[in-house]
Amino acid sequence: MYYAVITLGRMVNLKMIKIEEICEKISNNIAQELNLDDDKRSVMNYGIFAFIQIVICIGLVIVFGLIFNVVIEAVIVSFTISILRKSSGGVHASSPGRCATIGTITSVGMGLISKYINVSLGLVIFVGGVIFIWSYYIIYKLAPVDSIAKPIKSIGKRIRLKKNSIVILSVYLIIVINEFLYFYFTKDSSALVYSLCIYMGILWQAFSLTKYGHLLIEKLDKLFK
Amino acid sequence: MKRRILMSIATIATVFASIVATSACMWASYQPEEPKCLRDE
Repeated sequence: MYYAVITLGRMVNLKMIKIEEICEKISNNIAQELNLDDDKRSVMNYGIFAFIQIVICIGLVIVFGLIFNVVIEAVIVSFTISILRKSSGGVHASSPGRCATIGTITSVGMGLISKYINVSLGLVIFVGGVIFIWSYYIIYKLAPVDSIAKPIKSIGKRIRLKKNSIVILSVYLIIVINEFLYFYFTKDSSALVYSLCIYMGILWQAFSLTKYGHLLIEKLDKLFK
Repeated sequence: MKRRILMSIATIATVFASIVATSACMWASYQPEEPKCLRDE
């Protein structure tokens, strides 16, 4: 199982390197045909690559979610992480392939844990309380965490992104409270499962802002080299 | 016709790049080098 995951990760890595080259070729051709300057070509290349990478990451989570029968759970985890990540930033993998592999493994893995773990409403509320308090603290203290490839120098933008991160976290809190109410009145256990998926997504994203998160991603990154 | 299609792709890609540029990072945990003209220096 371990070697299967590692091999799969390396295969995805190779494919993604080719996608980077393909994006470069597409943008070069379009820029040549339309007589665009280098700035416009690089912006277009950035946009095409961003679009393709997002489609591949979501596609992989859906495919592996279907294989492990946790498609809804994995998609909830993936979207929870990614939506919060857009404002709060965080540690990055060194290549798009490793990013897709780590993202798929974490989303599907957390989806599996959420689906098959057996917990009571009281425990979910308690764990949720701890996770939300910790995440609010981490995001208030650290977000947005930028990278060398995309530095955030403007103070205005940093304040806006921090505010957005707190708003997104608050929206997640409202969704989770609604799920508790839904479970309380209907006894439908899927509401608790989806709440756990949101918890895990928040926990992973908040953890990726910390130095221990950076160390873990660096280790995973080396594993799929 | 070909020019119009290429122009549409270029426009959509530029809009998408601008949307990504306003956030802290891209969707997933990989961040390609952001073009200098999109950076807020």
